[in-house]
Amino acid sequence: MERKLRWMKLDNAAKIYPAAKRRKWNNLFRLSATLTEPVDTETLQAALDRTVLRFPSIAVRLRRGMFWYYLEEIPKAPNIQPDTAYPVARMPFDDIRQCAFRVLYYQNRIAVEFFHALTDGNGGLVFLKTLLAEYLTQKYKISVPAVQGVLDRDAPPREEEIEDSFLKYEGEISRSRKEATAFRLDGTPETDGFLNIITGILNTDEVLTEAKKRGVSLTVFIASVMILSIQQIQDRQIHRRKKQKPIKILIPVNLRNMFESSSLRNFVLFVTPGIDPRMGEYTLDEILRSIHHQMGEELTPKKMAARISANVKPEKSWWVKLPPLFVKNFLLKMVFNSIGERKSCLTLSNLGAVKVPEIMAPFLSRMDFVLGTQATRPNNCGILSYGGKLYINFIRNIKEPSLEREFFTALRKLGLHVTVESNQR
Amino acid sequence: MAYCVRCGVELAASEKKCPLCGTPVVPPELPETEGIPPYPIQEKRNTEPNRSKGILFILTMLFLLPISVVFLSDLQINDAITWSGFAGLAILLLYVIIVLPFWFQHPNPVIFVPIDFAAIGGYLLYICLATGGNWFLPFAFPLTGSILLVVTAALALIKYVRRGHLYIAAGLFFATGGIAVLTEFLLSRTFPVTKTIFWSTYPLIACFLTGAILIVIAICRPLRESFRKRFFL
Repeated sequence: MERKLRWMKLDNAAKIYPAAKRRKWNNLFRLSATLTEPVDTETLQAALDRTVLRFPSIAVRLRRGMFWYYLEEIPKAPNIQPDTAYPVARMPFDDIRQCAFRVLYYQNRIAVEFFHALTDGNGGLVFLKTLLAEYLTQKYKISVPAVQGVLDRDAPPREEEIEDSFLKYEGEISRSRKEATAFRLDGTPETDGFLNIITGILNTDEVLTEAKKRGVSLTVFIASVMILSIQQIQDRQIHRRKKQKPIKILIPVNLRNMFESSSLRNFVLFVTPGIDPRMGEYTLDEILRSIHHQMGEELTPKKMAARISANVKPEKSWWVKLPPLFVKNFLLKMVFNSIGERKSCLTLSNLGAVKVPEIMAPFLSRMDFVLGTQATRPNNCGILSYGGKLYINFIRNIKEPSLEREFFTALRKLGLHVTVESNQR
Repeated sequence: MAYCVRCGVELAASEKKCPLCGTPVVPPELPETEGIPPYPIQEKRNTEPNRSKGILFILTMLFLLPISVVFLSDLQINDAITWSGFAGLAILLLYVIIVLPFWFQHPNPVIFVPIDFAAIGGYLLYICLATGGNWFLPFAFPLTGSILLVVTAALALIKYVRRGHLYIAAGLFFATGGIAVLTEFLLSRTFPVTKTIFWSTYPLIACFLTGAILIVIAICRPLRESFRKRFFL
């Protein structure tokens, strides 16, 4: 009997992504795992065929309705593909309408690239871990328990995994979304669409010790060094302090840590802590203190609920519901272009310490998280730690690695050991 | 294991140069290791330009539309091309100057400026013929031609010669003064108003003096340094 394919509305955060698409840009992110042995492609395809059945909200394609886009389950898993010279290569919109994620392999590495409308980093990580568990089960005949973010492939999908948790945790009042425009990093665009990636590998304990010494979390520490680096770049580009712009970093926040949710769909909001260099040059300690307090002030369930409400309310209005999709797309794109990326210099997304079931660990040597670039801002940064190493992946669509150089040399000056690798041509 | 001498970071075995600053790192005492690059090597570069041609199509249409409208209106009203020739060709001239270069990925001004001047010359020729004038060959052609030579030479020198920009600027001033004199000479020959060279001596003197000052500055290094110190931006 033919399987009945589910369909679902896009979650609240996902609605902007199809509308914001451009001819040469879609919002993608990648999660990858490096194994200790080369990837067996046949086993990987078989593992994927089985895994997709467990993820009806991720193994989907994007379809057009009259008023909204929606997601529809795909009848069978896509074919795995060899990896390309750069990650998160453009996924044409026609492809997204066939299948909105792809699985890639290269040497020992398995990577999954998702269109952001499907899920966020945490949902993606659950998918990757479950795929790896299935792969290792089939390849090495081990039995991987359904713990540490690995789902039971034999169990049916649960309803709470595909819910839109934003609608569940909407607050009573909405908070204003008004923010100042941030400094824009710039450079010479890569004319052929090549995306440069530089990965910095650090010892997680070393970085944690350095962060704890200063009384802040690892994310605050990394964000502060990033802001310091951007401040130096802005100082070189704009000499008059009065003319400088605020430096802000967009940091996604996993709402599952604040609200009870098992959703595998988008359930993140963001905070944009930063400094205003017009007030004077900030030292690292000043930045650390400021960012630490800004994050502490923002990251409360009440404030987040009010932010969720600000995002969800418009979606419920008939004025927004009634116009046909092409009108909505036009308006959403205008909003995205005029506001979307102007409020921060770049996104810094930290997935934290990735843990896998003990039995899987000997087969995995490394994991990486790569964000796609934004539509108009050239840099982005994805971070995770695995096996005692912190992997900081910088992506950029410009030629000059100015930010990366400032950032990693700043870490070196703090006495941290950094190993870098890249896909430079 | 190699470290970048400029950035202080350790480089993965696959890195032939530092990805942060581009410094090549080859430890002389170590055998060259061939690490696995983190991403497959790109065998063929994507040469497809990243620029959208759609906007150029729209612009071309925006130019074509008024051209067709003026010609059609003129034909409808007068049964002949009368005033529409001036208007239509003026729009076409504007298109050649403004839009045409953007169809090319790297428009070279040394090529496009002569094309623009040729278009201007063609337009002037049309006006001359359409109005039954007799000024193209004795006046417009030599004047447009000499301005073309000066501008193209200046552009080519600026583009391809890395040094001596002060000398180039001085030469441009001398040539501009010369063109002022030539303009007055051609004017008085074609349209006999005055028989002597009169007003053009003022721009000639001004251009000559400015050019001479630039050459002095170019020759005298301390003077150049002093100017740079006082007037940097």
